[in-house]
Amino acid sequence: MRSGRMAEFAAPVFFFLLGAIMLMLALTQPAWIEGRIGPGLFARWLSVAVMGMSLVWLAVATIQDRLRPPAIAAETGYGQWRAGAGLLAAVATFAFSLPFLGLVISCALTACVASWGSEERTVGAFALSAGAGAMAALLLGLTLLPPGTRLWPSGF
Amino acid sequence: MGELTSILTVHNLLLCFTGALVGTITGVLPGIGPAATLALLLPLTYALDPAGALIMLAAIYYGAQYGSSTTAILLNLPGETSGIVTALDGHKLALAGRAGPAIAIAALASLFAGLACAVFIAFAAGLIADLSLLISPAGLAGLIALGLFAAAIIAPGKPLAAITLILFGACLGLVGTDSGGGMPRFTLGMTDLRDGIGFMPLVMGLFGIAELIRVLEAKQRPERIAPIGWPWPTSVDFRASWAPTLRGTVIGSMLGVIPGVSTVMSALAARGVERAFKTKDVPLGEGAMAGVAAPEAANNASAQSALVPLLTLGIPGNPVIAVLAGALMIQGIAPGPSFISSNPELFGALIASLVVGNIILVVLNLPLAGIWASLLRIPFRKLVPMIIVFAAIGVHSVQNSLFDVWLMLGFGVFGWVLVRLRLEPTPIVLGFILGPAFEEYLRRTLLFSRGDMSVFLTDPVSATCLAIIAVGSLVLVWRSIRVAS
Repeated sequence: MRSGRMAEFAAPVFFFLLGAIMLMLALTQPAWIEGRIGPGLFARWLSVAVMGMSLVWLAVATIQDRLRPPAIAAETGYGQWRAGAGLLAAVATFAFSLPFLGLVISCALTACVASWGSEERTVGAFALSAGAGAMAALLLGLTLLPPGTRLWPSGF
Repeated sequence: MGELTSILTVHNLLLCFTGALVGTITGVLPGIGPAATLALLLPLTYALDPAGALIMLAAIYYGAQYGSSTTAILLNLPGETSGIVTALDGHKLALAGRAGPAIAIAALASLFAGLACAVFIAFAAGLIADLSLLISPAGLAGLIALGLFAAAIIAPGKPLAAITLILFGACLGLVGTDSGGGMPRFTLGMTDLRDGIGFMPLVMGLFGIAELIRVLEAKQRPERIAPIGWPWPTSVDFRASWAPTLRGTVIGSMLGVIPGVSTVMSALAARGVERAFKTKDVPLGEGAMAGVAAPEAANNASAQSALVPLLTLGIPGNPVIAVLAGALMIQGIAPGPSFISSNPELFGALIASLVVGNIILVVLNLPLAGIWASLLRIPFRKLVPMIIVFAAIGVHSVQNSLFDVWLMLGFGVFGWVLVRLRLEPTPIVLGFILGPAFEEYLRRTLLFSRGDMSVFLTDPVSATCLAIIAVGSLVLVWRSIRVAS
């Protein structure tokens, strides 16, 4: 396997493993129930198909890797990890804080973390994002969302 | 005519206008595509009636096609992939100080294609739907399988990867309580998963969050904005573009019906056909109006005729149509062979929205092209926090469920993995929608045949579809190896 082509091999292996997990779960379901199609039949077919196609994909990737000349350079532009980590952390912040802090503060925190993920690095930018997030939550909470939506921490 | 008047209420016109406006902005801003925008705006449509929701979402969809051409011409930076083809000649026109006429020709070609395609859908969709009612469940299962296979083959990227992702997406579609026996399946013992994976967390995670990550990581930035100039085309421009517009409309309408054919492929095909004709101004590739008119007409016609397989067979041919299908399902409407006969008013409203929306879009795009282009001055990183906040509120508000937010996070992580593996998430969504439909037809077929699988080989429609899939698979593997060698 040549360097710079890890993704071409990792992808089919990843989906083969996912297919295997799906198959294990599908095998716990009956394929037929009194002569009728059960919940396990199609699930097994699909899981096996995912595994099978992943293997074909891996085989083709291997053949291509052997026949092609070495890659000139790995594709650039995907070296940053902060964007992904930051945006996913923002969603996690929302999920963690909403039950305790209410929608407005939760959205302010979410926007703040998301702005870090989008490479903002100044206090002013964080404050602006947090303020905009809180305003958006307040506006949506007071107009579109159901009246029972908790906007503030309990006790307010 | 009755359908046209049904949309001419202030409420529906406002929805159409809002959709067209949002779609144009989406098309103008590179990064977040129409599928992600539709996904992000889905929660807003819950408060609307089905017709209103469909009108607004459809307007966003074809609005994005219009908006894309503006930045493609001005900046050589299309907001949506189909604009890439327009940029080849359109940007050359902009550099020559003729951005205004190029944008006008793009808008007028799109308008003509949009109106012609609305008529085409109104007539063709009904006929195809009537024919599809005659097809057996085995035939419909075969057609769905063929549609998925075609989508995987024709989609950009690696077909083998796309097929695997479609199958995995179909697995995700099976999560929840089995519709036949009422048993939980793939739920891992979680009661929250008994109703299945929600469409919203899936598309918000895969398209919304992952797409934002991809754009931020790729660091796409606009260049300097060219002056627009006088927008009205000359008579020479009109003479150079009317025939390419007609050809582009026909090509886009025909190709759009085939599941899996993207708007960019229709635009490329239209430009390819134009090579066979002599241009009336300058050669193609050097700033010819034909190079703007043909692909613009083709991509708009293709975007709209892609609705035909959804409305007649229940097969969404591309990710945006898949999100539209999801919106219909959320409203309790199943797209498929009986959609038009069961919901004539909804179908009529959709056709009417295509007509009215295209007219609104020309009004929006011709005089306001400069304003749309100036939107590019807003740094994308300033928009991201707000998009995340809206996504989180949107997903949570659907069922007031934090579990859905966690699911969105999970699919966001999964989408990020796909970005890292350089894979497109689109096939997963197509599989997610069509997997359960395929299983339903499979169940019906095996019920009628008392478990006899050979019915798939004896039914002519199913057998033909399976034969095409088998031959296509062999060609695919053989070609992959041959290309490598």
